[in-house]
Amino acid sequence: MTARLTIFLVFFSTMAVGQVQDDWDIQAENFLNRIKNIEFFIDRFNSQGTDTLQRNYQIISLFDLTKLKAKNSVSYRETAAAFIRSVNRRDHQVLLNFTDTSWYAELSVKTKSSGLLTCLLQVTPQPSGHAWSVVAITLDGRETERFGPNDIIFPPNANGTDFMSVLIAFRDGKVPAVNKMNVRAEMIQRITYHFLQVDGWIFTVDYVDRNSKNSGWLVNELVKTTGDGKINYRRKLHLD
Amino acid sequence: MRRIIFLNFILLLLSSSAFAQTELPEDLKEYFKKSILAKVKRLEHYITLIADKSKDEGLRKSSINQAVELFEDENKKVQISSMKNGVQTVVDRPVRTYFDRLYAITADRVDITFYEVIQLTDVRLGPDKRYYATAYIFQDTKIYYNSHSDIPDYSDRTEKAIDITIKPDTTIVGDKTVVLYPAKLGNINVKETKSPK
Repeated sequence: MTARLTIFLVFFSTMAVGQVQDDWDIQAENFLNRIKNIEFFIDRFNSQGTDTLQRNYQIISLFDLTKLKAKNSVSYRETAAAFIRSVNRRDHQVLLNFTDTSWYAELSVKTKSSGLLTCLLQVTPQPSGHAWSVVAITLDGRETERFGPNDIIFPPNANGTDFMSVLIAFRDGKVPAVNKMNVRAEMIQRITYHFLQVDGWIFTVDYVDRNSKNSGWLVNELVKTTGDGKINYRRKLHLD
Repeated sequence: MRRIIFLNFILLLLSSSAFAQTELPEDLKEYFKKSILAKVKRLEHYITLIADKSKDEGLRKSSINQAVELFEDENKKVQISSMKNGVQTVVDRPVRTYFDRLYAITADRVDITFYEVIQLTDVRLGPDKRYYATAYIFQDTKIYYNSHSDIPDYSDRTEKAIDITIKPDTTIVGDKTVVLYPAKLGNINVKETKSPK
């Protein structure tokens, strides 16, 4: 616990975001619990109704602290500090929004033929409410098929059961594009959320499964972007 | 008093039907939450009852039908996980098969309890004018091959995520049209299985 406190003292001393309270570890207990659902991640990121310092703690608890604490991750710590400063200014707080269209869920689906099917989904507005829409499906990183926001849709809570309904639809032959690829979907190996919602930043969120309160959906990668950074990132995801 | 409460309830439902929208009013959110929690608690109750070999067999069997009725349809899947030598295996079963197998576990005693408060996400309107959410339950399973033993032969703690759908249902009460919002369960996904400490 002392080591953890020291690391956070060092971390926050580089941030100039205010004093670190002596009871950090007691307070951290309020924030450090496994994040079961990406919606809880968004809620904690926004931390509405808390002051700037409290929100700093909340946001830092959304990072994979093991990665952040690694000895060779000084530059990553500095990047994280700059990110927190940019989203949590006293005069301007940047919030995430579930119904924003600039974040994506990437499913890596293992198939029986051992090829990897990558499915990208996006939350899209619909005439009634919202849906998770499949925007692109790629087989083994080469054959990509793109779709409109109303072509293949799933309920807005599909993320809660780790897109089990998407896997079942693939398995049951209900998605012609997957049938055409002649693969049989077996299981979702990995889910990564790509957030492009924050100006000048891209971050990914992955599920960290470990026996620790700092687990569940946590920030895995964080990069500062300039110019065409987001356009290039979307290309990398086979979105454009 | 009872009549006033009922009238308020009807007014709440009627007023809520006008919201086709994005942000749900607080009273409707609260109503959905209560409706979902009631349904999930019934699921927990049936899981415990169907597995409990000390209970009457007829009651346990008839509970299977009642448990299945909590779901949108019988095609919904329940993931089952187990731990062996620290390795987790997960398989999907249709809901009825899941309850049939739960009933038929080969053991002297099966204790299933739920150890934490049910957690819920926000309720969101979907493209089909239904409302959607996810509920989380926390299940503690203990299996004894010898009912006199105090130490279970198998035990695990599993966290499960449940798809919830609320389909507005219009009905006539007296001379008024009322919209009801019954919650139904969907696929159940295993989030995590651990051997208890």
